[in-house]
Amino acid sequence: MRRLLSAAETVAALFLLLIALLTAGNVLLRDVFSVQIPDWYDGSRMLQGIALFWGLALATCYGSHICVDIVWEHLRPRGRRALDVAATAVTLAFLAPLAWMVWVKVGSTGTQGTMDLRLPLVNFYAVAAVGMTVAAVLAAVRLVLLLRGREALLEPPALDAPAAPKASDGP
Amino acid sequence: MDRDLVALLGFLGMFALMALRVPIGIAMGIAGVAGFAGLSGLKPGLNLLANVPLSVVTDYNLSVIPMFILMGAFASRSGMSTELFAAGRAWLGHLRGGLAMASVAACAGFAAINGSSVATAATMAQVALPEMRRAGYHPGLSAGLVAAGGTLGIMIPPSVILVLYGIMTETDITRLFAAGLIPGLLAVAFYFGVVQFIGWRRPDVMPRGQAHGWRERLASLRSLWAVLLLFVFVLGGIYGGLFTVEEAAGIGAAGTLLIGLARGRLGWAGIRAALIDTLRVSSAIMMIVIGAFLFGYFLTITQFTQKAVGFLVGLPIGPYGVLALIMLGYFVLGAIMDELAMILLTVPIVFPAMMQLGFDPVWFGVIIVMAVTFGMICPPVGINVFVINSIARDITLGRIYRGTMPFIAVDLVRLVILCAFPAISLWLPGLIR
Amino acid sequence: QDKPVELKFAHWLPANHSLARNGFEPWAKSVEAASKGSIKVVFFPSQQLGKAADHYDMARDGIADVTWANPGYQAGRFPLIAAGELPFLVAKPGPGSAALDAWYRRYAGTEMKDVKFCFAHLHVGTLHAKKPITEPGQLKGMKIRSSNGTNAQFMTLLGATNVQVSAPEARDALEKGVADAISFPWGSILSFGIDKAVKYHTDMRLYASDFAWVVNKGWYDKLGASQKKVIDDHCSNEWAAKVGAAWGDDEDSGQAKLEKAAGHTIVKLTPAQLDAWKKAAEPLYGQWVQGVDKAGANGKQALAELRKELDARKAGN
Ligand code: NA
Ligand code: NA
Repeated sequence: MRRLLSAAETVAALFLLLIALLTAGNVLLRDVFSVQIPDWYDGSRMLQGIALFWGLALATCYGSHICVDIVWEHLRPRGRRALDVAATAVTLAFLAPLAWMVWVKVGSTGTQGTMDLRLPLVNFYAVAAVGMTVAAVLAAVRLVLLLRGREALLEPPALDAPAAPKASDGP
Repeated sequence: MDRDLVALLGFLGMFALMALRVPIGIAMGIAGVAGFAGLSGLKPGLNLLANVPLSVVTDYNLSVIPMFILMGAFASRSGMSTELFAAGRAWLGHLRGGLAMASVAACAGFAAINGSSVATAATMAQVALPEMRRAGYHPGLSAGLVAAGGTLGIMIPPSVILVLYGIMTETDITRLFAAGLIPGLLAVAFYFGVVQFIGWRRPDVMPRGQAHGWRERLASLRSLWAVLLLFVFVLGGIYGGLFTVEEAAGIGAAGTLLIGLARGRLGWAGIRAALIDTLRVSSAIMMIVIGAFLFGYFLTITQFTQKAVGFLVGLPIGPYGVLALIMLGYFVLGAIMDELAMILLTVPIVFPAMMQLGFDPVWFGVIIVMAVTFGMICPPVGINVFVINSIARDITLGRIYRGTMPFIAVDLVRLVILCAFPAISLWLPGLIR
Repeated sequence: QDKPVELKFAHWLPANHSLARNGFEPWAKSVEAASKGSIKVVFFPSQQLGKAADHYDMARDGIADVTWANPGYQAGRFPLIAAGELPFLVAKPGPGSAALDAWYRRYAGTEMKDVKFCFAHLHVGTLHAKKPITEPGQLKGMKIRSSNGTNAQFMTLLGATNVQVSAPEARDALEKGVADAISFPWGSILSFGIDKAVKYHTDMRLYASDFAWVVNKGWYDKLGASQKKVIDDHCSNEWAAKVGAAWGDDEDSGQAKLEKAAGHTIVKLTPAQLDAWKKAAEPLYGQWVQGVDKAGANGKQALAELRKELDARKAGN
């Protein structure tokens, strides 16, 4: 499963790169050759939506959402665990109906399409909805692992890139 | 039920959930949906969840958030942050507090090619902080300096906070960017001043480094061409009419990648790491934006927003009295909650009030950034301090907070100056038109 | 006596916009008066309850009770009403709105079935550029900020590229040269300050944007009998004409103001030039007919019916 999540994260991250390239490519073509990439705008929007919903799924899995630690940091390990369990349960209680309602949205999108090529939005929305569903499922998984004291299984994989070169390495 | 009471309960519920360490965005979302359902019915409340989150993440205007962060990630993975610091050290290293000033200068330089203050602080905590410590600088003070220097990331353009403010208030983002530049440089000057003062009083905490020859100095400048090119190209393109601000973010990210590839500094591993870093940070931010929208719609139907605006405008303490009150409110809020959430929740109330009191929208954007700045480095909850603590584990939060104090003091002075002399912020944007 | 209710009315314009003053507010006052105060209208302007493109769904979902929606913001979702966006179809916004509304009532029950359709209206606009534009061929290679999807398709068809910026950003984009021209209603050129950036305004009916007022079904069903009648009376063809004229004529009055303004030129077209534009727009009519056929109605017949309604009111082009 870890492998699968890591692959999903890489694909979602590549979508961000695609947005940058679509935007830059379109401006280049527009300003230099007076042509445009069809649906670069709606395409970027859809890629962004999919990437971020999947990104939310991974943030939920890794427990890397932005939180206020003001109470948590004054607790002993047992108190912290109790708080983590409660917070994850609340998170699940929010993400489950959210995922459900995103599917409702998918169902009501109808014939709506992109501006230029009229690609059906329902396909893009559905891929995003799968991401949100995964988010809800991962919240449940995290809750179970927390209750069993095995949440360390969900540590995010380290990025295998060498860190930026040291200042002392060169001018 | 009385709407004011529901609004109050909504706020209390939201803060209670946050204290339980429910993710901030989700706490706001739950309070918003529950409150909306309480007033309009369960179905409309749930229906908010069908439209709002998807609508937020597919908003092209918001693409500036991931894109300006991606630009910074590529820049730091391809060594531009290191080059900035190396140049600062070659020129300033031999002076009193030289490495500290080099760090501030590098923060400012890195701020010019990314839009996030957390990213600036995190990057410099990896590049500059270890070097200062190796040279014998006081750890807490060095970390505090990087935390404060990180806030330049949102003052010096490009800036994610100014973009969000511009979108929310329909203020021209190009003018907002121009408005942040001089206040940002003023911050650099003030931080240099703090370093000099501390170095004078306590030379032991900021030892001098060795001098670098002129050849080395000029060589250090040569490697800065990439940073300079990016800054000039991105902002020049915005002001020269080549592309919009939203497009500039994507172009900046693509351009940084291209330069990194051309210099042989970015391989697949580095690209992937930069992309995943960006995805993680942007997703965490976007959850807060989604939550803030959900809570905001709830506040709107309680009509609390409209009442609060009326209340602020009606206070018999004059425009500057209201301004001071608002800044005090931000100081308190920023200490305990996330700055982005704070801005998203309060600007719809505060901005109309400030406009009715006759303040300038562009100038107020700069003031909002100052409010965020305090929230990011003030105890007990300062995100920049947390980020640095997570990178330099052995420097305790308490020591970093003590290290930020002198910088918070000069930031306060800077805030007063920016309020007293709006021209510092408005002169440059005035030249554009 | 009916139980007093609140009518949450959401739209995305600023509260002081011409349509808000001349359309929304008079309608609200009339509803309040006719219901003897038992319906109280509360406005939520400026996207306070949701994004512009989401306003149809907001009424469907009960986020607001009545919303002002632009069906064109969701390309392909409402293929029939998109007829109102066809270039050079409508000349006069008041009677044009009445014609569109009368015609669309036949289809609203299926196309907008998950809301109570109130009425439809439109406004008409033209091309404003930095240089005089008389012929469609001139647009090749130009960068244009379009007003809606159909208009953007037209511009692409003519070899122009579309610049995506919001209306408040449009002036900046034009001043800096990110865009060379904009399709916009006449009056808004002045109210958005875009007159400082573009000086040539072609005197033609290049595009129209259409709008629908839609009501949440659950909210309507809960009303008392006399309250329902008030809403029904205010969801009428007369109100479509009234709102269409109030806003559209106000926009069109901008043409006279620009004509008098120093440095501005109203570019007139010869009949031959106008024919060239209309000819260039023909593929869009074909696309519309196809889209409607696909949606299960008869496109050619529907278009003929709409033209008949327009002709009956002398609102055609
Ligand atoms: Na910046
Ligand atoms: Na804070």
